[in-house]
Amino acid sequence: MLPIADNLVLDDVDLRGWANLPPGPCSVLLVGGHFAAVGQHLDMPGAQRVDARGCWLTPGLVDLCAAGREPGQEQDEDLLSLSRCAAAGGYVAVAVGPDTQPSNDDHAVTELIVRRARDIGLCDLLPIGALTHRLQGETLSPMGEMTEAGAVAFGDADRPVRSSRMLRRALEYARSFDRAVFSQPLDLDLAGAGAMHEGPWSTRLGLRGIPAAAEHIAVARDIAVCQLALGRLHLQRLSAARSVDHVRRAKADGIAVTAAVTPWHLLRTDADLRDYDTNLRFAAPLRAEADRQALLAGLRDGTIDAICSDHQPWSVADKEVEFDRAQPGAIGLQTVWPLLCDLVREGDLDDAALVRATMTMPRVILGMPAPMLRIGEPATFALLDPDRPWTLDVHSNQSKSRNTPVWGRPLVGRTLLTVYRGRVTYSD
Amino acid sequence: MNDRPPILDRTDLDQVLRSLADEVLALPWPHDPATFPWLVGIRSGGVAVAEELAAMLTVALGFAPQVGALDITLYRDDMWLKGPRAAEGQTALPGDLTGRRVVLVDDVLYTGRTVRAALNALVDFGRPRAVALAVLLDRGGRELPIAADAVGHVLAVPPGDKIQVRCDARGRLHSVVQVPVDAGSPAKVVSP
Amino acid sequence: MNAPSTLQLRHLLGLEELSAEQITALLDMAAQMKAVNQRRIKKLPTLRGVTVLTFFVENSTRTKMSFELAAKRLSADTMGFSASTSSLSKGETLLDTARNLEAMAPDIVVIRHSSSGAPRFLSERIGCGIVNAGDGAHEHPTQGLLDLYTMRDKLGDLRGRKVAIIGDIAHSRVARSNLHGLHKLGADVHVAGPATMLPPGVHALGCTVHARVEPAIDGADVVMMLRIQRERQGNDLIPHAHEYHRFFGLDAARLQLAQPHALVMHPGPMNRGVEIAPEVADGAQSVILEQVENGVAVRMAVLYAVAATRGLESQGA
Repeated sequence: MLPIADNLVLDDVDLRGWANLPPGPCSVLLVGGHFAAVGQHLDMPGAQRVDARGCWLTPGLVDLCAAGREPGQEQDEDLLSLSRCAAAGGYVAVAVGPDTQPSNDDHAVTELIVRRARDIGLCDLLPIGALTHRLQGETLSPMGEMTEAGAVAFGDADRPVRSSRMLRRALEYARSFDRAVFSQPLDLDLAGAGAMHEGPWSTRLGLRGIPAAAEHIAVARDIAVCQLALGRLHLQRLSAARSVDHVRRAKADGIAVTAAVTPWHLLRTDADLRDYDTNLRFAAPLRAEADRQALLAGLRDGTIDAICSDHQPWSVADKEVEFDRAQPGAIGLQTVWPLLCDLVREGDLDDAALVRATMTMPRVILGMPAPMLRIGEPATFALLDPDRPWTLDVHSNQSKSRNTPVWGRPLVGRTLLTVYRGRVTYSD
Repeated sequence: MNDRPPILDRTDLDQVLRSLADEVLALPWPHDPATFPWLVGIRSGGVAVAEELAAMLTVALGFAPQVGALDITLYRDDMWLKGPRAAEGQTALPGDLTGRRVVLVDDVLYTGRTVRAALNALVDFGRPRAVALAVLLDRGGRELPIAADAVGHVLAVPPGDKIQVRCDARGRLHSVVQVPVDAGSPAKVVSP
Repeated sequence: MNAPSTLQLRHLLGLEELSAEQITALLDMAAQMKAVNQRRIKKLPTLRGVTVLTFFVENSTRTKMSFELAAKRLSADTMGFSASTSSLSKGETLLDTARNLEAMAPDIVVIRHSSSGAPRFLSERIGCGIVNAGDGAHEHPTQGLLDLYTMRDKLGDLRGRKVAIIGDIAHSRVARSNLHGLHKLGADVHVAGPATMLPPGVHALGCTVHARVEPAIDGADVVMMLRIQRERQGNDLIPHAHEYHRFFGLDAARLQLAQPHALVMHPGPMNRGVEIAPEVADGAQSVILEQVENGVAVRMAVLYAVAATRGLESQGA
């Protein structure tokens, strides 16, 4: 347990992810929730000193994709519990999806989320407005009014936009308000009623497959339409190797496309479904080892910009069911950091890529300012320990749901302290 | 365990078999080829005994008694204690059981549970006219009200000790070994 | 007395997780059971006091009957619970239903379900022995065992025997259980069917894959035809039944390619004139009805193994 004093000196802490400061160890003085000094051998009479050697002082993680479930499904999650998950995971801002009930396809819902976020005050909750009315892919949503109300981007959550024409119009219209379109690339006809990656494992398990082509065909189409519309496209969760190739080429061609991936897709493959664990069912399914390697390579070379939590809370009734009837997704905000620390330890990811994918690029994609550590301003930061072990269980879990494949498993890498606008939002 | 000295060797067993044959002949049943009882060995230990008994009776009777084998695996009462086990072999009776006299043959009579299972198994194949029980060795320790009609030899054995009737490679009775209850790990192999 | 028996089986979820020794032990026990089925008194006292519950969330009168008969011949008590009479259709989850069933204290639940993995799901959540009577397109292990039994009964050792499995491999749990079982027993397995019905990576289950049936049947010791589901006809998998029969069905001419002694098998129910010509289905080489008969014996062996293992574990041994 880290003591929280009014005056706090973090000794030998590693600065990471600040736009105005190079990475490296130094001491940081906090006075009353404000950054007071950064340097070596800082001292202040009466201040609490904490040996923070090996810990990272970051501007906090930012998430591109989480389901808040409020309004409508507050039994699974609400914006308060979501904010607590975020703070405990070292997040200071979370983009919340439009897949609520009713869906966020109207400025009233957007305003509700913004107001709740302000009242809760644990982190930024940034609404992603629906791209189309009721996420149906047929009528444009009122993006202007929603932008005024605070929507930071537009997308139809898990639902791919079936019509290329509609996607074109949406990309064009969103451009008028300088907003990116968040797309979940999937060819619905090819995906059919698939429940997992199509391959030897789906054959073995007797589950219907979603071929990798169902994704990368849609990625190619989305990119082509984006180029046509001169819009800004963000691909929410990639899973297939060829998708990464398409994004790499599009970026080389100067098309405004960004892409994200979840930690699960960097760590797990379809072979992990051998036990029919519904917590490993995802909308973009876990794919083969070659796909996993391609995603990691894409992340290392910057083709994939960001890592999102893809936080999807579901009740037992939605998850403790037959695999092909289970809702896809897992809760994730609290486990992104330890899971990525695993990847760093295994040598699959370096520190710089981790910072870029969880802190820098999500802010860029959401149009947030680059994070600065400014003396005298109310501090917003997350103090993260890459080596501290813990377990996600009934005591540590902040979500109303507990659908995660790592429930009860040992994790290494923990948030020690999260401060948002000068207030402690989480401390271990 | 194989080097434990036998309490009965093959010479002793000849004598025991002769006694057993005499007792079977003394059963109050006619000695004619058509109605002479079948000798039905309980798998696995009783089968060799039934065959040797038949050979010995053939000399005395002048005709060969019919021999059968009965598998009782699925009739045992210790499934819940010992779990599933493979059958010892198929039940093979010489013909239609109904109306026949039968001598059930086993190697060792102990608790009586095997015989109880064998009686239940037997009647599922028909309705025999009469059933008698012949055992090579009676070691006492009955847990059910069952007694043999013909006994080759009576042994006094402390409860828990194992009596193993061993056969040679051709399936002929070879020797009898007594394994004390405290002889360490339970016996695994019955035939050498 | 013996080392832990190879018959010990906590659940039967699939043939994939069984060893060749376990499969052989079950087939040997099935032979014992088959002898019982040929007696006048077709009953054993073995499972007295054991309750077997058949829980069929997908219709299959035959498989259900076969299991119920198997249980009764072992003196077990049986109860049936099927989707039409169940509350599953009323929105109750599988887990809730299963817990309700568990409250009736069955020793074994025999489950048929349209979702792959449902038996495994239950085996991890309720305290009964679970026997899979077919789950989605995953496995149908007792069908696999009865097929293996029938083949072994007719051909002896299956090592090196060529077995052709023909039809909709992609959607067939029967094919998967047979593939696993045959592979473990050393058979040379060939699958064939229209490419729309051959799932990706099926060769990884240990078989040779053909897009046409002739090379699969050529020299085969066994030709196993799979049922073509009516709903798969005239959609995107095959144009219509007539064309299927012409190019992928088993008729007398194609059967000529197989060994003269080759067995013709079918898990039933057959579509005569679609996957199999009537003269082949009724021909001298057909063992289709023996498969049905052997099904009872195999299911008796499975119920015995699972019930006795459960008994053993309840003793804390």
